[in-house]
Amino acid sequence: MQKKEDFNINYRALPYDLVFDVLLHLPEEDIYDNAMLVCRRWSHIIRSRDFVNAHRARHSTPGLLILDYSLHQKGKKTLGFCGNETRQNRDCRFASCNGLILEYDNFSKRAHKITNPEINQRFVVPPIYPQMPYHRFSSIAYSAASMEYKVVYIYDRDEDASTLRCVIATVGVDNSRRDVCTQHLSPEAKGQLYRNKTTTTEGFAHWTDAKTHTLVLTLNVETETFTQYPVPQGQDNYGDKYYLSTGKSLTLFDSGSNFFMEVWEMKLETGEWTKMYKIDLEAQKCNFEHFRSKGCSFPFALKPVGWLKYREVLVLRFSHMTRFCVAYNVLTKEFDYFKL
Amino acid sequence: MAAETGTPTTLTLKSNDDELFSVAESAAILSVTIRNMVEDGCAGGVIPLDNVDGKTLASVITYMNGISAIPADEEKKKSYRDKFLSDKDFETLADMVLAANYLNMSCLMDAVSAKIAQVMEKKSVGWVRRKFGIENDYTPEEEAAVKEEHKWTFEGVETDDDN
Repeated sequence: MQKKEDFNINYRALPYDLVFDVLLHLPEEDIYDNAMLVCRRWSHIIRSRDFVNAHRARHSTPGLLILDYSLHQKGKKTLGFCGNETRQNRDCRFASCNGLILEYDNFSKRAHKITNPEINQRFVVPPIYPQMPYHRFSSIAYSAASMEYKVVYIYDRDEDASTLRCVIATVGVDNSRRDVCTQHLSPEAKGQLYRNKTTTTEGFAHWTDAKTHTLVLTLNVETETFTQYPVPQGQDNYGDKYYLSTGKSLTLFDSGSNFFMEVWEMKLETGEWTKMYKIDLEAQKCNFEHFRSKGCSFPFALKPVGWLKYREVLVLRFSHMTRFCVAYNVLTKEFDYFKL
Repeated sequence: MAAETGTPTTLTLKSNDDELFSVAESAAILSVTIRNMVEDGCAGGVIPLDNVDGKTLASVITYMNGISAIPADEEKKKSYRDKFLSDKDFETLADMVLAANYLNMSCLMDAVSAKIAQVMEKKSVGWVRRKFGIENDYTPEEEAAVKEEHKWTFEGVETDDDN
């Protein structure tokens, strides 16, 4: 492989792990504009799962992607594609995986788009049919085995639940798509698939229901199979439930009161739930009082919106309209406010 | 650790081209490889470092002495590293990263890798291949495919399609 022109050339053929370390320091543009084209070995390093993860960990500015229908922010950067118009006139829907955002607009039946807010670039996913059917909550997930992103479409025709289908398309490879069998699902699970939004934990898309709260419907995008997992029946059936992705696992927040909740974690492969913590901010209630809006008739409570750092820092929002959020360290039980 | 007495111990290091260097043990044990040898008691005579040439070893020893003279202050250590590497050319850096790897000096390795990456930034594919002594093993078709793939991944922000 090496040229024989002088023996010095050999020392520059750095071993795999040293090339890995060097490339890790390169910015994204140089990786894709140059390093990828150098040779097969380098491209192999760059495509490796370890490299992708390590590079992302080093270069991503830590940010929080809040998927909420009235609020879309990543770190302090407001994403440009969502204005008031979206909220009022359009049926715009979002899903996210590994920091990428899948966005689609049911009103205009436009194509799905994938945005990488980190580098502010966007890609259009070709429509699965020329005549777009009515989409439910689509999802995006990452298949580690094939290193591909998958878009999961849930749709029906003429808003008829019996025509419900689930189709997986692989992003950027070709236009092939596969149906996932939904025949074996219980009516409740089908209802969940039909009605509810999704949460992605890397290779798995989950459909949950904050109200009925009996099962998590999980789709493994690698095996393309659905599994129904029961949800732990916590303290209070009337309290709100929230599901958040930690990236690698699914967490459930089971609130017992407006400022108290139990946190559970689900193992993705087995669907096993483990109770992780209790978050009790009842004692801090008086500190939060000035975020309460007088005219609002909804109960004043805290809702979890995302993990800033899993198992450590959680971000919560108030149920009343305010741009302030609470960052809560579950280990030290310290909290701080920040404004979106 | 290994030095029981209060007097500073000096080690003799030998490069692969038979140059000898004296260095304070306290500075030399920044290298985990050397530290292990010292702890195993095989540092009695001369420590042969078969994978490092004299020029590179001299440079690494300068670094060892410089950095170990700085008290535990990460900021200052970092600025020393930056300064130390600032005038090194690509070939020296490549030698250094190999030496740091062999000597198991993670801080130096990380700093040198970062420096190499910094030098590589905005350079052409040809430059990188030349400097790293790599031959292009892509077929023209494969190369085109990799370029194409990249284009797909990072298409500029598209303007909304009208219909």
